[in-house]
Amino acid sequence: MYVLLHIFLIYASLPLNINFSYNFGVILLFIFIFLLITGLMSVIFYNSSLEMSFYNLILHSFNSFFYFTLRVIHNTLANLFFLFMFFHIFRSWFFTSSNNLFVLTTGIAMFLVSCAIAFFGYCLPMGQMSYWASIVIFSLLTVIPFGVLILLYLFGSFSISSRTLSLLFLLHFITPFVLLILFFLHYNYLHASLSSNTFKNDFLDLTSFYPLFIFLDAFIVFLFLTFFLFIIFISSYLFFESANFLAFNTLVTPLHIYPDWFLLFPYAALRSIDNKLIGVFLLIFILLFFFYSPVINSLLTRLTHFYTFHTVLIYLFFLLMFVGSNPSVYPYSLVVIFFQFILYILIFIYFFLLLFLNETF
Amino acid sequence: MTLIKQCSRLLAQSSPRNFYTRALLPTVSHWRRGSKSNNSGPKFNYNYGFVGLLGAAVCSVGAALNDGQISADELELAHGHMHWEHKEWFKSYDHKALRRGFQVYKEVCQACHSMQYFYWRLHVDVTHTKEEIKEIAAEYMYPGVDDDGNAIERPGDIQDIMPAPYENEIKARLANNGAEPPDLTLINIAREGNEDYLFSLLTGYEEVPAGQAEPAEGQAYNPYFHGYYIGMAQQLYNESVDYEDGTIPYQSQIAKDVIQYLSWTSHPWMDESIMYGMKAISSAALLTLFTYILMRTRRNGFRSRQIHFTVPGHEKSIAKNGNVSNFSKYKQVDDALSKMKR
Repeated sequence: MYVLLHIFLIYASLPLNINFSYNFGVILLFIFIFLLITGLMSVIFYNSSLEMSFYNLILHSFNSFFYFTLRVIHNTLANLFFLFMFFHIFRSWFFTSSNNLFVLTTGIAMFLVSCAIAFFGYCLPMGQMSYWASIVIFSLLTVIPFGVLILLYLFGSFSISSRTLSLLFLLHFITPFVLLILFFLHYNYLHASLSSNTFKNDFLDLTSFYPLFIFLDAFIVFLFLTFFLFIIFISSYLFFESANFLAFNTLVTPLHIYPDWFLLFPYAALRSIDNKLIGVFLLIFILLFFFYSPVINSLLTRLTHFYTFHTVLIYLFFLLMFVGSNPSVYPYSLVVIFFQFILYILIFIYFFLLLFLNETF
Repeated sequence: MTLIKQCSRLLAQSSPRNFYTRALLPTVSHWRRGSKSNNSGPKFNYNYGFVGLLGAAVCSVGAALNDGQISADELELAHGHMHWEHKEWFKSYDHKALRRGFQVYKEVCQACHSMQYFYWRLHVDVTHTKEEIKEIAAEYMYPGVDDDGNAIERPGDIQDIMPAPYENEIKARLANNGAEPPDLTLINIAREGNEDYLFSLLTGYEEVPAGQAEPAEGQAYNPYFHGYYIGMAQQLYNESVDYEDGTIPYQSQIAKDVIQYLSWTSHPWMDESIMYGMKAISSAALLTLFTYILMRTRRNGFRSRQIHFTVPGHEKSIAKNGNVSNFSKYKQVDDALSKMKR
């Protein structure tokens, strides 16, 4: 352990010319450790009964200031985790950090696992939006063969029940440790093959981790901590969903079901097409497209000298979030049709480029 | 397949400069002229009529696929934006307003709406004293058990939850034409628009405009409510409450007070969290400053390095003058270089 810490925190060599955008990783590590701690602390307050879960949560948070703050910290950190993860991904696109396929793949795995953890956690309070979100996501399983049987097995009943909540609680408890293992792999692969730098893969000037970067990281973490404390203490409900402060009702469907902001971009793809099977296919496609876009980016650059593909992708990402956040009624349904048009172009680009994969790699 | 490959190879082989001049779209300011002049290369003439045609085609297809009819019934009026002092940073609630708001809740809202997540004791030292709250709680009867194990009705105590007007959901629906009155504990954060929406809803009752259907029995017309026809009739009028402290009970004053009270019930720890937050934020800011100074002291050594390349044969002359400043070292190198050029 001592040797590992030495290797990680003192002798790891890094390029000297990396800028502040390379500190999103350490913020993510800090957030993740605090999420683990606050999660373990709030385990004792949770009751996984379907009827009592929401009631207990609100009563506990009104009973003690400690638990209220714990809940706010856990929720806010989970949202900030995704915010900084997107910054981290955008940085990797801009500085071609993702040319390292091992680091890229472990990173994608970490993103997908953390999406799953966020979904499990979102279902636990069993508010109105939690209930309907879990119904929607679980029923995606019905597109695969024997999907209904698997669905019934996971529910433990004919619909969402206390057994489903117990399962979700268990998964929400276990999967962060999978994320921890993936983090060590990610970090190990990164330092085995050096970080990229602002000069894009020219390693001019290396230095060890200890005297410079450890203090830079400490400064960035404390800077983050100041803003984070401001959010949790001064505007506590910033990242809470208003529709999730109602107890669930199985008879009343919300007018507009939508996920948290970080899952809006695959959700937009799922919703833009009437057919469920094609929608699920598109959801998986759009995830793979976004996260293997560095490969597409390098291919496009080689074939056409088109250097601004990642910028287009980031605009597209925000467009997708806008499409996913709006209900599918008249003024927004025009946007959805425009988006379908873009999706077909993307699919075309993707399979067109697949033709050249053998030549370039 | 081979044709595609050959085309792509041609594209890849063409120099970036050629490719850019062919494919680069001009900026919007050039569209008006219809041409783009390039000083470094030959002049090109573009015809951008096709861009407009394409845009028109996409729009017309989009419009044809959607029947753009909006019924006026599907929309609701957007709520106004009021200034709430407790929503500013580092501001606490107006506790006199909270006390008045509790009075409004007790006299007007409590007839239909429950507060099933809120304890009596949370009011202590916020709106009322302990004795006052004990008296108020004792006015209500709760189910209990006596020493012999018989079910009895006992007076409420300070640690009880605030009472519900109806025994269960079915009775609540029966009494209100099928519309269940929502619980008011979290109502402020459970609605989009929060305080502003609630204020617009409570003070926004109107007579039905011409052309709209008359509301059914037990319903009222409110343009801020989704669907316009709300199951709650107008409750707040001028002087519908007599305040203890002599505040003039206008409708807007009553609405403001009760909304501040509901805002507090949805976030009862706001004053505490601001108190702890000021300590935590200031100490974190101090630590940030401290680590910033530490980081700068370590980083300056790396950032102000000077890398210079010595000329072969002149290393010794530089090494001899160990005490000279970096500037003179550079001067020596420059001199040596100029000699070599000659």
